[in-house]
Amino acid sequence: MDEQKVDLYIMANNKYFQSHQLHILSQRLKASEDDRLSRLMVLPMKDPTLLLVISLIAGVFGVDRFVVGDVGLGIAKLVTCGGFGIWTLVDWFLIMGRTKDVNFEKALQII
Amino acid sequence: MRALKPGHFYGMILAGSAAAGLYLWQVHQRMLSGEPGLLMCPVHTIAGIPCPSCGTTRSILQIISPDSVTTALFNPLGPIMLLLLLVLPVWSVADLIRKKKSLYYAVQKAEKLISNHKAVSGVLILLLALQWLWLIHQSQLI
Repeated sequence: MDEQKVDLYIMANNKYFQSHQLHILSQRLKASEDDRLSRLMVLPMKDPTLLLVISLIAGVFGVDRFVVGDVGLGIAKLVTCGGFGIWTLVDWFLIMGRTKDVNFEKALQII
Repeated sequence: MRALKPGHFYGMILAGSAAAGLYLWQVHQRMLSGEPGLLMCPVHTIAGIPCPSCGTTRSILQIISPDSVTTALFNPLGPIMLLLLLVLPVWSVADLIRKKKSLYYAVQKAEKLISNHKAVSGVLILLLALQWLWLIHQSQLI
């Protein structure tokens, strides 16, 4: 695939992935066919910053975990009042990384 | 969607159950000596209304030791959590001894069922909303 296109995509979308995942993503994209990149471009990604805001506001009810797709953990967080408030606090720091991981897995499924 | 690794999953269940058991025992001891509970819910402190899981500890204590709790709002999550607290650790230990992952797969199946079927998640949300309204109503009576 055209290397410039891939680099452009990586530059424009680097906030959706962890820094160590960018290299793997660009290598995989360069080795794959052209239509993969266009499919990846239309894939809806979850914004880590938005998730952080959700976590700050409604983390006590586990909404952040539901949005990111961890239904089981979301329910566990909801019925324990945000893990007695402690888990809520921990998730303020973890949720951005988790969102980026989820985005990366989604991207890998397409490539 | 990437799930938890089985090792982490069982570790979390066993650690969570142990912590919950310890917490229940501590609160029970304090209630018997007439002191208030250990933790105060952040939602209740800030907003002044109970969150959906408010009173779960008191509901469980009401069932296992009726004398220790005097006034409490009854939360239907109490019996459910008590059942889970009894079943999950036993199931996990049984799985670990038999070197199987039946609980892990069961939870994954339940997660898929809830996230893929709008009807199931809708009913759950409705039940939880009703239960929350009922809790708020109860707390205003006390």
